[in-house]
Amino acid sequence: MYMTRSQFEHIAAQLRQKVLKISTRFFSSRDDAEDAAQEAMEQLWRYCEHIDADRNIDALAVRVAKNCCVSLYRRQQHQLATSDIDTLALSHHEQSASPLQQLEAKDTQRMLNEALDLLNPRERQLFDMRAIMGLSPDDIASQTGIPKPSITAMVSAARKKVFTELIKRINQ
Amino acid sequence: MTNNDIQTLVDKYLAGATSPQEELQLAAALQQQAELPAEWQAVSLMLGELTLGEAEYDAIMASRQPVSSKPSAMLIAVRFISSAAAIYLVGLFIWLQLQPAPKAQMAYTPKAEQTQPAPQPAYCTEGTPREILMCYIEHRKAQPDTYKQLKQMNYENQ
Repeated sequence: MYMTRSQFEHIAAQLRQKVLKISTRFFSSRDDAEDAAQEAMEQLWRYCEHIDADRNIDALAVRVAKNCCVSLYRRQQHQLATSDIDTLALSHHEQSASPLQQLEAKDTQRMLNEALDLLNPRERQLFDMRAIMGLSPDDIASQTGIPKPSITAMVSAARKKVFTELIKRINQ
Repeated sequence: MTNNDIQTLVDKYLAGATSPQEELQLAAALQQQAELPAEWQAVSLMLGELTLGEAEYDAIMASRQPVSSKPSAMLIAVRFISSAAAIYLVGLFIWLQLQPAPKAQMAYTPKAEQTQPAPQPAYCTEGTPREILMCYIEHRKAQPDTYKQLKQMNYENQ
């Protein structure tokens, strides 16, 4: 069962404190830190309906906050822009990138999505828990009830499947 | 990180055996590579933008740390001297505490502390030999017990 917007609102204040702590550590300017925290909260707000309701999203919030800090930093440094939190692919398209680079980024995104579509739901769930949530096998085991050796084996199988498909498509 | 190290982490990643920290290390190492072979490019895609961004965040934060945390030689010397002085002062304090307090000089010595017998004044030392002899005989008559003891000791020694 996925998290609802109202459920997210209940934990939003607590998450914002955590996110703001990350951004304050990164930026010397309070305004920049507030901007990065706001952006992270927006992305979490948009993504929350893809997260299991009974799952702790603190780790994800920290990762998103760090990415938002880096994105804002890049924009400040190189006038780059980021887009949405599609975390598994190159979603951070550069506004200043050439049309060819943008096309390549979209192609890479499509290639990865097609490779991920080959996974069965269980494999996809475990793959996402490692790649997006940044959870360790111990955390995944405690959340899913699957034994840790099984998690390692299933994650390995999923990764090798995606890896093989990506290699095939990259070499084409 | 060398290419061999990266390849080791890639193999470990595909085996599902990497920790989140190792995946961050791998992402940071892949970001530093100018040209990625197809295998590493695929792994970079699989690691995801979040991991790559997090690795970049950590790298930026690490670059802001002081370059050298090693103290200078002067600082080491000052610390050493300060430590030695502190140890010396503490040792001196303890040593002084262990020393007995000096006794105060008193105007008189209590009788209880008179352990040494007072020296006997010399007698029968002045005058003619006869006078000295007579003085000695009188002194001997005045202390008959002492004379008897001396006489007995002399007899026993003979």
